[in-house]
Amino acid sequence: MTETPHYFSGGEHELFGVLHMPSPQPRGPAHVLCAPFGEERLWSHRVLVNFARELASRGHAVLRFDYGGTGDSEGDSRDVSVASCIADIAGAVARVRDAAGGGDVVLTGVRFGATLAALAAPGLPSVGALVLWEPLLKGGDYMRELLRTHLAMQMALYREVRQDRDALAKALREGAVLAVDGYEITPELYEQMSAIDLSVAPVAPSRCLAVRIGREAPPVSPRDLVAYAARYAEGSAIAITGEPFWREGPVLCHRSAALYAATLDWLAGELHAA
Amino acid sequence: MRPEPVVFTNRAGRRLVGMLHVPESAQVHPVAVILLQPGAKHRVGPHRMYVKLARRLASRGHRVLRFDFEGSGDSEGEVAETAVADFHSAVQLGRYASDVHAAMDWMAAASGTGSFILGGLCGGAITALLAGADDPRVRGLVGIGLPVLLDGSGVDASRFLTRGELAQWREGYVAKLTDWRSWLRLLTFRSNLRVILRVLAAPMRGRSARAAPASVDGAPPEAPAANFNPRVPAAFEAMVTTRPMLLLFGGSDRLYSIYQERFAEVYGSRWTSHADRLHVHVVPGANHIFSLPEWEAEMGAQVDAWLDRHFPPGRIGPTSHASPIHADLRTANLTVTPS
Repeated sequence: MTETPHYFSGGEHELFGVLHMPSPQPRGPAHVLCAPFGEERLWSHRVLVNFARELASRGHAVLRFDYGGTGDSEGDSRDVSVASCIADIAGAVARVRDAAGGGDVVLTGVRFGATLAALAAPGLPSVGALVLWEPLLKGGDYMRELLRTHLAMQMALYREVRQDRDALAKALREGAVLAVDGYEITPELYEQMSAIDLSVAPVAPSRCLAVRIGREAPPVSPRDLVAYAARYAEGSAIAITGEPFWREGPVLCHRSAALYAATLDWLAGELHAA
Repeated sequence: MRPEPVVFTNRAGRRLVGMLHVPESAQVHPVAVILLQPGAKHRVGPHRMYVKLARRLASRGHRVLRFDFEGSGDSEGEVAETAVADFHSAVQLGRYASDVHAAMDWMAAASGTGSFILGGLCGGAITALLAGADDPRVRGLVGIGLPVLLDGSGVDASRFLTRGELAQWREGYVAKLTDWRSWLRLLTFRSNLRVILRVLAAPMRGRSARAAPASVDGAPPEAPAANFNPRVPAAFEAMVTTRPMLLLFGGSDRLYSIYQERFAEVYGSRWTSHADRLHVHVVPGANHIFSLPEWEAEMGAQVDAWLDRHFPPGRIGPTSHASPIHADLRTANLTVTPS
C-alpha cells in the first residue's frame, strides 16, 4: 500500500490530500473521507487516518483531504463557505476516481463533514453510497453550538458575557467576522450554515448509513437519524457505543473500532438496521 | 508559495509526513525553522497556527518544516497510551526528541541546512527544549505556552496549584455559586472536590508565596514533588546559557503562572548572567492557543522582533543561496507496512 501526500484541484483552491492506494490495484468503490470543521478536524484526524488505512487494506482507494482554507490546503479561513466545501468535495471525488480508474465512490463524513457530504452527494452521480458519522441535521443548531463556544471564551476572558448569542448573530448578519476557537466565521459561512436543513434537502444516492456515536451502553436509538435515513430508498440509522472522538476529552482516540466495524459491515451489505 | 509535502524516516525507521515551506526569494536565511506539533494535535496546529506562522517565517527568508511525530497526524506508527494525560507526559519527558533530530538530519541531507531554530506550542515547546538542549545544530528556541509540569494520570492536581491558578480558579468558583448547573455537578460528584476545597481554603491559611530557598551550597533547590518535570531544569540551563530563547505565554494561560512560580522563581538565579538571551513575553488576556486574531498578531510580532534581534535577515550573505531540495530525498510516497 502507498500513501501519497499531494495537492490536487478543488473548487477554487489547490487542495492538500493524502491518497491511500492498495497493492496491486484498487478494487471496489473508492472512498472520500470528509473531515469535520474547526478543531473537531484536529481531534478526529487520526480516527480518519486509521479508517482510511483499514479501507486500503481491504483493497479500496481512499482520499482524505482538507477543504480550501483549512489544514494544509491553499486559501485562508475567510475563504471557507458551505458552497466552497461542496465544490471541494466534488474535486476530491474526481481525484479519487482518476486514481482508481473510475467507478463508484463512497462519501464518508464526520459531523459537519457528514452534513457537507449529504449536501454534495445529489450533485455527484458517481457517489454510490453515503456514510454519515454524527451528521448535523440542522446547520442552525451547529451554528448555535459554535456561538456557545464564543460565549465560553468571553466568560474565560472577561468573567462575563459581553455579547450574547443574539448579539453575535446580529454582528455576523451586519458583516462582522467572528473568531471561534481561532477559526473565522464569515457572514457568508454563517448565512449558508444557518440555512442548512437536511430534513428538507435533496437526497441522493439511494444508500445511506447515518450513525450516532455515544458513550451510552447499550446505545440509545437515534430517532432523529432514523427519520432522516428513512428519506433514502436504502437508508439505515444506527447508534454505536464509542468515544466522541471529534471533541477534546481524557481518552486518546486514534481508532473507533465499533464504528469501523459497523460501517464496513453495512458497506458489505451485512448490516441491516431498523 | 504553497508548501511542499515531504516524507522522511525517523531513527526507528518510521516514515514521518511533513510540509516544507521554501522561501520564494533566492536568498534563503541559513537558519531554518522547525515547528513541532503541539501534543495530540498535528502539524497544522490549533486554528492553523503553524500554517500561518510558517508562512510568516518563510516570508522572512527561512525554510520552515512542520511535521507529524511518529504515531500522529499522517505519519506511521502508533502510540500506546489511551489517556491523553499519559500521552502528554510521555511527550513532556522527551518522547519525540529523536524525531526532531531525525528531522534535522533530513533537512541537512536534503538542503545542506545545518542550523535550526526549534519552535512550538505546548508539547511542541517542551519537545523543542528537550531536543535542542544538547544539540549544537539548534541555534535558538521559540516556546509558546511552555509546560514545566507533567500531565500524567497518576498526579493529584490539587496538590500543586500555584498562586496564579488559585486566584483564577477562586474567581471562577465564586462566579459559579449562583449557577444551578455547578451545584448539580457538585452534588453528582463530577466536581474535583480536592481542588475546590484547596482553592477556597487557601486565603484562610494565609498561604505564603515564597519561592523555595536555594540550598546552602548553591546547588539548585530540591524540585517540587511528583508532577514537576525533572528534565526541564537541566535542559533549560543548557539552552539559555548558550542560545537565545523566546518564551511566549497567554496572560490567561495557567501555564504562565506555573512557569513563573514553579520554575522561574525557583531556578531563575542559575542564569541571571545570561538574562540577555531569555525573553519572556506575555500577551495580555490571551488563552493557551491565542485564538483571537489580535493575540495571534501580537505573538507574530514578538517572533518577528526576536528574529530581527538574533537572526536578522541582513545576515543572509552570498553563501546563503537557496540549495535545491534534492528530488531523491523528497520521497513523497509513503509505503505503509500492513500490520
